[in-house]
Amino acid sequence: MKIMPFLLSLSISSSAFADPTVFKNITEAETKLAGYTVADIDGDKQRLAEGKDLKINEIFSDLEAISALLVKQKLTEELALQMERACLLASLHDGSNYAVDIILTIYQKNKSIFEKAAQRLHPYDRKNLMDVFKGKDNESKNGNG
Amino acid sequence: MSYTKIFVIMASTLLFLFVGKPVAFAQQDIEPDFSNFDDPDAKPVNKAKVAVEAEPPCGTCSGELPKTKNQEQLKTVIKETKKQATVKAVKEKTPPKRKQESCVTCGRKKVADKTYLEKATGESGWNQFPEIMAYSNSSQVENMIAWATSHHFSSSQGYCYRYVKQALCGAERPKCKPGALVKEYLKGNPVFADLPSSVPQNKRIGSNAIKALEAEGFKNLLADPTTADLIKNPASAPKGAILIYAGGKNGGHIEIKTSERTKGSYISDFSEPNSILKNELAGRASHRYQLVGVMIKPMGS
Repeated sequence: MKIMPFLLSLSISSSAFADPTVFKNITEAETKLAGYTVADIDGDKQRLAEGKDLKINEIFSDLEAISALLVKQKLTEELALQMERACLLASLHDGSNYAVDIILTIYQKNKSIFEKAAQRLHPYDRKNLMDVFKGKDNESKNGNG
Repeated sequence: MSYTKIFVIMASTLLFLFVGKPVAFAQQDIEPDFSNFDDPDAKPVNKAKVAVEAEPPCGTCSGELPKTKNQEQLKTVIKETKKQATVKAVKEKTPPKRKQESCVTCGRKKVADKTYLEKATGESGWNQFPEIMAYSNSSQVENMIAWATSHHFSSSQGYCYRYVKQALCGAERPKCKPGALVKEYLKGNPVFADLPSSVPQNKRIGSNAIKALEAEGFKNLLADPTTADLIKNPASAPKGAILIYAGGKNGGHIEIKTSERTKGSYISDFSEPNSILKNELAGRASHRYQLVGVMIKPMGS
């Protein structure tokens, strides 16, 4: 019986420190990112007024979880496309392009996949995003000056 | 007929039936099979003897035999089958054309939403500092803001310091416009030297924008207790102030405040109605910076 409180406290502490977003596989990550729309980002104004957590933060968390997933698994073109879409959506409210910063190391390792995936983006989005990726890549190597 | 004659006929008939067969085989040039000789139902196996004779030398072997009509048709059929198989394989290999994504950023303009604009705390209070007011209202600051307003992207490209340097110069590298806020194009890169160790050491030398601006006669209002109290957040900074932030992923951030209070915007290589520090709609993206410098160049009134 003495072990019961120990197990209870262990389960509570582990749930408290658990990462909220963990993807089991690439398909799950693709599906999650594909679900985000412009309406989600626009809805953040309402969420902010109501004191709820913002969708943009959820996108950031997902991108961080994908970065962790891609340490073990291989990036697909579809996932690269969905990551690019997520970055574009986040940029609507975040001019600093934090989303691109999160996935920058993945981009640096898989430039060709990202460029190929970007062909499916609208030309206007494609140009904007690829310029950001290239600029951030340069910033990480040579600084922002 | 005597019994002897009948016996002879019967005997010869039986002899013909049983002994006569090998004779028949021999006549037909068929070798009998005696392996199943004891089996009465066994059938003879056709083992025709093939006469082995020396073949005459081939006169046309070296040349190509004339093709018959059937051979040509067969060749055409094989060719077509191969062609169809190749086309099928190519079709299977080529993925179907995927759907083009709809535009996310088209026609989206950053409009300052007053509800979410950063609130400047208290009265501005800059009126009691004539050297600061003179700076804010100077033509050099106006020129800097005009340059910055006409030279920026919709979102960050990672060149914040480069664009602020150009705005301060009123021109692109290497020469500054006469009468600009700085005499020389600012040296050093990046804004703040907290870059990861992967960045070469020579790129970090003189990388603090505060030092570079101080060398041009700028003053950090956060370093002076009399002015630091007036700055509770970036919105409280005077017009034309150069705001310097530590943090972020690649060596801090720098931006120009284009107006007093919350009327204007914050410009570097991109423009936002809110400062990078207090953009609530950007979620935790704005929580990674810390304001470390509010730079102005004191001027005589």
